[in-house]
Amino acid sequence: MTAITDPPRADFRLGMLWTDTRYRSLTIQVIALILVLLGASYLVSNVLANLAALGKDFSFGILTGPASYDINQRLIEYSSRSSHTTAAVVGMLNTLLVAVMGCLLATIIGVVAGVLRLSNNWLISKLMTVYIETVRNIPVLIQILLLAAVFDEFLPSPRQAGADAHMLGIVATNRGFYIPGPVFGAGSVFVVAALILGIVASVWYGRQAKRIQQETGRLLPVFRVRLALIVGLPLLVWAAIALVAGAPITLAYPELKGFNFDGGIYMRNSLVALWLALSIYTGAFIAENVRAGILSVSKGQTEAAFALGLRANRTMSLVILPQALRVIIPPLISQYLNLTKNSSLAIAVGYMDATGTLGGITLNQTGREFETLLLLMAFYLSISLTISMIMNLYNEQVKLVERTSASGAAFSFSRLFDSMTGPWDTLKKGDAAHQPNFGVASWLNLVVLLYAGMLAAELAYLFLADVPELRIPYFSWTLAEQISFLLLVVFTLATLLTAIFKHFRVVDLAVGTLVLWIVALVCGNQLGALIPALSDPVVIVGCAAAQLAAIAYLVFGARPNVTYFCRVRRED
Amino acid sequence: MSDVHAQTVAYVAPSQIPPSPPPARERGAMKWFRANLFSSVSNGILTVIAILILAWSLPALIQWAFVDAVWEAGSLSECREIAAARGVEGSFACWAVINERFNQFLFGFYPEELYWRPILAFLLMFAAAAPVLFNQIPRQTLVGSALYPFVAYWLLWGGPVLPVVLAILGPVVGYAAFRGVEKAMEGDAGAAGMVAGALVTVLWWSFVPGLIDGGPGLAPVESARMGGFMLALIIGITGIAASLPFGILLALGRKSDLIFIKTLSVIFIEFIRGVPLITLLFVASSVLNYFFPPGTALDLILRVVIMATLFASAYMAEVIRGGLAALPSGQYEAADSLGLDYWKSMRLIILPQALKISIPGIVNTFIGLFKDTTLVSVIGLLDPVGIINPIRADSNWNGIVWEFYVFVGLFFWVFCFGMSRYSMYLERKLATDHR
Repeated sequence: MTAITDPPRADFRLGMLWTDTRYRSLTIQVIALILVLLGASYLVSNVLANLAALGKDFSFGILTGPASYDINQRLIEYSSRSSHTTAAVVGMLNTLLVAVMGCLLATIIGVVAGVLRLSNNWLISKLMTVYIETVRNIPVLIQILLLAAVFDEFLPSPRQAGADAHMLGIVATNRGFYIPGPVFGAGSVFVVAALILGIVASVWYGRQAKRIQQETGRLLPVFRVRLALIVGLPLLVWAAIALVAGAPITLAYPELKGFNFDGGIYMRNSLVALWLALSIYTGAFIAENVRAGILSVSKGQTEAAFALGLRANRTMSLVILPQALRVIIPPLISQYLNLTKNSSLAIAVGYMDATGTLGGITLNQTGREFETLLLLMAFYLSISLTISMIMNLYNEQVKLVERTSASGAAFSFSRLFDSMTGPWDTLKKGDAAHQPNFGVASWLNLVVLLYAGMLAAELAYLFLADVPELRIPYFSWTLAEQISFLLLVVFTLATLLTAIFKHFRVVDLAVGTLVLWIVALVCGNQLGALIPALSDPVVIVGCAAAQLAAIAYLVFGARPNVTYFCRVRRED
Repeated sequence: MSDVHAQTVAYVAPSQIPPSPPPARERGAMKWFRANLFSSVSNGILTVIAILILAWSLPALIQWAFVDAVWEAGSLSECREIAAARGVEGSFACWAVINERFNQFLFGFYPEELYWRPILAFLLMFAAAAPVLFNQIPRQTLVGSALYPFVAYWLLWGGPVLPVVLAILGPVVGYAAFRGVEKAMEGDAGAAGMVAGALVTVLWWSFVPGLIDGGPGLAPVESARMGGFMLALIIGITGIAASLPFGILLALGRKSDLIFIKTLSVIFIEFIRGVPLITLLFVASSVLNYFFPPGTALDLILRVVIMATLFASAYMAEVIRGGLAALPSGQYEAADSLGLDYWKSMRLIILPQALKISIPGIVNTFIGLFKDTTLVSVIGLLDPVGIINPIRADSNWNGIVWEFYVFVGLFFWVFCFGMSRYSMYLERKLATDHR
């Protein structure tokens, strides 16, 4: 019998870099790195040579110059004397406007069409099939152009339209659509306050009702009371003020004045065509997702719910929908993403979105293709990455979890204090030790509010308050200021999202935000100007203190929660 | 019960009574109507509404598109005269414009006497695709499929034949380099051989075919004259065919253990999927030339094809990654236990199965890319959508809107709907052999 021993380890030879699997992966990666660097440097040197031959350089400075073109559909103050940056912001907001409107309408169309396609009414389901299969297989650009051309060619001129009676105050002309718009008069503050109060009260009432149901099993009327709080309360306040001092909020109807309509809200034909075409197109895809989601819940679930004695609507809301939504929402979100990306087709009908301003007129006027396209891509990329981050967080939250153990593989700041407080475990959904308390109100909401407020202030500082006379525009800051502020915005957003979705990484991101807050100050950013109403030191110190408090709460606070944000002291 | 005998029962049926027919409302058309159209009050209302909508819209549509339509005329005013002479009131379709500009919709401004070349290329495409799609055809014909891209390029753009032949030699030289590296490394080359082969091929293509200019060949046609559905097909088919190998490599890269390769693949895929195609087309039209050595001016169609390929390969990578993920891990372990190295296990075990699963997704990516080819009209190429504007601006046809978009939309619809049905058929066919 011979003893089995490991063969003696061979000395390292150069050939082993390739033949030995221990080293080969390293070799391949180093070679790949070298190849990629070579390729990149080749491309960059080509670009530099080409730019030098044309006498161009690479700088964003031109974007602070006056845009000197007009944008006729806008959400914020803009004139042709504003800077290219402001024009880009107007465009980005227009993109977001059409994207949000499109997502809303597409969801409505998609849900209705998807449900109707499953209807047991033969005619209706066939009609929906025809709609879905027709619209899905025709390029969306053709649909957009068709609608825009039809609006331009076949709608009446404002004078003709003024003569005709129009429905609900909506006027469709070949110059655009006019819809009634609200006018806020004296006392409207109270109505808005009542609305906010109603929303807060309805949330509180919903939680109370749930708690009472959990404790006593008694069902309170939730929907009707919440509806009354949200709709009824503002209406009541409106009516009261209207009786005393005249209506605080009225509707202004468009009226023909001269050659055009005046009053109300004006939407250009290009916006309406883009909005409708994108919604109809994306709605067809959403309809298919909805149908697949509903079909994915097996019939036995309905029957089981009926067998338990649940009524039809509660079966739907408690049994079918939660399971169907798990299947529907991820593809739904990627449809939203597609819609947002497709909204860049606005340039074909002349709607001034980000592509039309930044990638269109600004590019042509300044001749800076690299800079403008880089910014444009960064804009769309940040939207996509934010949406896919939300989707990942959502997926992690709803995914089916089998037995798990307390987590703790990677480093997290919440472990930093373990030596002081004793070891804690971060529980995951499905843990045996998990407390089944559902929807308990926690101070986490304050953390969410804090970071939402910070994000709003930072974005307003970055974009909306961009008036060249008042403040130095972003692209004129020093590089350190630009980078540190941008990172601060990104981290604030990430913290906000993780807090909303109760991901345990919120602690680390909050620490990162605080660090970046200090870094941005050191780099010379005027963070005190974020809130103009307060003095600078108050804003800087107050916000840092609030962040510190939030981190302390996240680390030390007891956080009873449903998902996987629950920490318990480890029992040894 | 023992005292119940036959004698004590008053009557026993001697034979089975024939079944009576179901009541009238439970059979035939009546039952179908009740079950499918009027099963409840709300359903009945929906049905009536749907019938009313159809009764209002369908006859009007048929009237507009067929009954009142004018098929031959020289201008819109002539169309109107013909319609008025026939006593048509209201709007009608003037298909005469499609009739007159049909060739432009098909070929753009391609020289009329040379139409046989794109048609021949189109027909050859089916011959080239047949060995890929059907197993029954002898494997040797795949060589013809491999030659097809070069032949099609030569047919469409024309020019001397010798550079094309030299270009065909490029992959041959690359394959020789691949074999050389394999041999030098004693059959253990893995990726090195593939990289060497690709590098040699690209170098060959960049330098050798340019050496020879002139010689016998076809009359050259410049890119500016290409347009219509021909252009859409060129971009769509080239994009999808070229993106398949890139997509496979990217998908493998994204699933790889090599952290650098994985990061590169993820960044590339997420970047491309995160930006709209139109920004990539802007890159093609205004920035891409800067990336090549000073003095090279690539053709706009080629630049668009490059960007469309990059775009499609990111989506393709995600589809194939789905296929790779759907394979049970036992397949990977089985390949490893056979002692196959990475590329052999991928080539012989994993990819054939993963690609088969991903075929429906690949077809869907193709449909998406084909629909997206309409976007090239925004950067000024004369694809079917781009060619509408010059015709609308023509004073003869000024005022026509619906006819163009209906015609172009119908073409895309037929193509995409056919492809999607084909992909569903494939899905069903492939699903059966997994059972």
